[in-house]
Amino acid sequence: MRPVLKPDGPDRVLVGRNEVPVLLRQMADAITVLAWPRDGVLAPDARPRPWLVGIHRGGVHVARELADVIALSEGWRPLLGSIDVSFYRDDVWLRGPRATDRGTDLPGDPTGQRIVLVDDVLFTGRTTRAALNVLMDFGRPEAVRLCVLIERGGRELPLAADFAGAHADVGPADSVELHYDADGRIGRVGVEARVARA
Amino acid sequence: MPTDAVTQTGSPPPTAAPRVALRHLLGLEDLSGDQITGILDLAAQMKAVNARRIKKLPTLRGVTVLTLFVEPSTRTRMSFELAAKRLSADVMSFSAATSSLSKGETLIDTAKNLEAMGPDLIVIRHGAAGAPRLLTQHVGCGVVSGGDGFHEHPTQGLLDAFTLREKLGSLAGRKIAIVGDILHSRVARSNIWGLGKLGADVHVAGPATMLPAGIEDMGCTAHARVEPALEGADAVMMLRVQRERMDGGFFPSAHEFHRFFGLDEERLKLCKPGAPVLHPGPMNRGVEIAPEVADGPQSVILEQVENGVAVRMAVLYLVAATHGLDGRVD
Amino acid sequence: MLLTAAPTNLPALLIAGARIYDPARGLSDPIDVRVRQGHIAEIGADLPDDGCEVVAAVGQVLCAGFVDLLACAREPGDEHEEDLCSLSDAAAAGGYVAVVVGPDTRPSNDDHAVTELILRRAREYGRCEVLPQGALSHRLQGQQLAPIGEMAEAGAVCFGDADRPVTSARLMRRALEYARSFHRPIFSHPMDPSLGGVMHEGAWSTRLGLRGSPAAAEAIIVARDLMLAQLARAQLHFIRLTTRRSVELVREARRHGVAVTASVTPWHLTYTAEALRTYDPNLKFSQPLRDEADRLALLEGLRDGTIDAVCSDHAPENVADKCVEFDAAEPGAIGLQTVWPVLMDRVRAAELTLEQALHALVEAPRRVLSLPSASVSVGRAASLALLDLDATWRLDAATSRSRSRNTVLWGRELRGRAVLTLLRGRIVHRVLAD
Repeated sequence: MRPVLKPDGPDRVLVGRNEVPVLLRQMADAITVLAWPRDGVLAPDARPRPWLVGIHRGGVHVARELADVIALSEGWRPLLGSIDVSFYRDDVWLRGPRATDRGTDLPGDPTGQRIVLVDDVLFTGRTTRAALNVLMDFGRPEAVRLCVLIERGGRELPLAADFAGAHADVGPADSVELHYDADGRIGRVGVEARVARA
Repeated sequence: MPTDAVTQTGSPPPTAAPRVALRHLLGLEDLSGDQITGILDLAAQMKAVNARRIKKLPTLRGVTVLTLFVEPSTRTRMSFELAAKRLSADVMSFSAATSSLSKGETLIDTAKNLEAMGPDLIVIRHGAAGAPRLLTQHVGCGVVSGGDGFHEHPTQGLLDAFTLREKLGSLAGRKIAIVGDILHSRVARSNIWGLGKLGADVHVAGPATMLPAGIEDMGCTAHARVEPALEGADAVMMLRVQRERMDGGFFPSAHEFHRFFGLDEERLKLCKPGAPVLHPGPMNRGVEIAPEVADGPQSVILEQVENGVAVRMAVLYLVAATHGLDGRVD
Repeated sequence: MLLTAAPTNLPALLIAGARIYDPARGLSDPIDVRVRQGHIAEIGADLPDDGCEVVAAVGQVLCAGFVDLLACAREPGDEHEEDLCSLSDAAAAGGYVAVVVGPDTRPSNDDHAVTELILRRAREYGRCEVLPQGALSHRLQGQQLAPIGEMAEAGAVCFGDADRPVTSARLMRRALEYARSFHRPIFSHPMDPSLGGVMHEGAWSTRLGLRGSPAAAEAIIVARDLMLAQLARAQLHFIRLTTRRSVELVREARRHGVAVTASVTPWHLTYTAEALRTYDPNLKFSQPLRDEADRLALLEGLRDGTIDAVCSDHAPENVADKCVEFDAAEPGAIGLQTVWPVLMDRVRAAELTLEQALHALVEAPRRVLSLPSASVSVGRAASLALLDLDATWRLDAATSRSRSRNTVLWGRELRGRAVLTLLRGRIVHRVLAD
């Protein structure tokens, strides 16, 4: 059973600095044993090696750190990709255009590949929907799984994560935010008041 | 830990991308350097889409783009229409010979009629300077200039800046020569603004009959001969000489123009080695540009055409999305 | 010429407490003026009302009504834009008692029959003196002299081809010479059309991508016409000078005794080419807005007397002719009602004195046309304007008397207003106090 976390302390910390590696470890383990269609039960070295594709912004960082963890424990490093959903969002008309210098970058043609979509927080599900559409515009993967660091309430689309590091018990007015260290690695996860959409 | 396991990209913590609102695009004079950079960054994303197998984004689904061309231009129109289609927008086209729309009330009447069909965005090309601005005063949708008179051709200026940035990296301090008929060139004006705002050192050159009064007030250096402009230039942009200007009013003959103001291989050697050569097209080979240069290794003319689609995708996206906010953006 | 048969049943008014502007004496202290039977009956301190209606005018200026040197009446031919009645009303509302109307009507005023028609229509309406300008050439085509003598006899006060250029130096010479026989000045619109454009040539035309007309396009013709006027020993008036060089040329010619006068519009004293950055066709003029150096030279010329008068250059245009691309727009703006507030802005900016502004509207135009001086004295016909210097108001559908609304000032707040205009004792315009 994945932990249900509540924000703690005056800083409203959800996942402390020391707990982040634990969650990443659990996620990495889950990814390596994820079930894929037609595989059945496989020996460890016969397990498939899916791509880890992070969704900008936070998902890219989570994916990179997951790859580091998997490389350490499994001895192979998953291929990394990133997805920018800017042009696939359904709220362009609400939020206005945004400049982006990120872009979608996949390690190859996704057709026939097994892909783990990685995001930091699963909230409404709309970003995940957009990311799936991006992926499909590049090719036809064999299968896609969704793995997130934090899953919270507030889903607006019928989507669920295949694995979440933790469930967050936060209110609709709260925003779950990742904080980064100076070297770009995830430091902690906190809760902030959501900024009203302009 | 394997060394390749630590992919230290050194990337800073991600921050929210800045919002770039663009209600209309009438000219680069109105934009800041940061805004132009934002558009070019976006265009780079769009260019990546154009390299994909499925060259289409769902971004502007349900958006209707009207191209209103009151001055013939097949290339610019096709570039805009392809850009709109790659963003999944619907496209309506209206074209009229300048003669049948010589009176502006007809332009406004036409625009209002077409607006009743509900476009979200109008791309207008017109022979009279200021016509796109006039349109903004009479229609509610976003307006993008596809070139107006001798005033501006902002998307051409953006695609030139985009192409130069790809070739040269940062444009700050780069010497860019713009050569030919500056007087009648909206491309030159948009480039003087655009490249200037990106920090380039812009030099314009042409026969003195084609250097407009006070051009240096726009932030460039003007030369009545081409050599000083080409000397040590990082890039050179040749402008088209319109056939109708070759009647002896501004210079004696096409032959003489080429002899003194055309870009041939000898003159190109005045620029830095490998300096890219740009031309907005269509070219007059043997007048403003020698065929060997136009088709030579330094020519980036076809890349300009390719980049034009990406830049126009970025502009259409920004204007349509800003318009979609329905006034909620300051 | 300003006097025709005085109508009867004229009101008796006591204009109390205004300062009087008289060209010879300048501005007086506050004083009372009684108007009776169409004439100034009495001037003095603390006059009893004596049964007259009292007009409280403290803080205001009373002067002989303005005379305009160029307005377009559009009648005959384009009465949907303006006619002689609406023009007269607009003029009266601007403080004018007489207006020169240009010959560029349809048909053009190149024949005494048209001159007589204009005068008859204006007299019937009778709310402003209309002074026809006759064409210089047949159909304003710059080829053949128009019948200047017959038109002068019919009442034309001056001759010129409106804003059509007289490209032939020979024709201009002959016109100057011939008009001398009838003691009428020639009005020159100085512009070489072969150097023409839609705005002033300079940094702003380059920036806006509009075809420019250089300052030299005007100065070349100013120089030519000054030499021709000297040759012909004739009276020459430059309507709407706009460039510094033109002012210098006129100043020098005056020193050599050339009988030249000149006028300027309030627009050119106020705006420069930069104002066109929004492509507003209401700021497109046949003599374009120039640079700041030109604007300052025009003001200097007005102050030192090189430029005599300020003219309204009133040019009504249909909305359809203005709601178009700048290139295609008809030049010109309506102006009769806004000359005074716009000039007062120059006074408030300390670029002109109040006396200089009044002189340019009251006395100078009369001198250009050799009309009697504009003194305010007992026994004179009461063709007067009472001016408020600071009253704020807007030119809009309620206040405008013109049929057209082509002005950049439409709807904007203006400061300064003619509050009462009398034509030979008749009230032709009055702003009632709130």
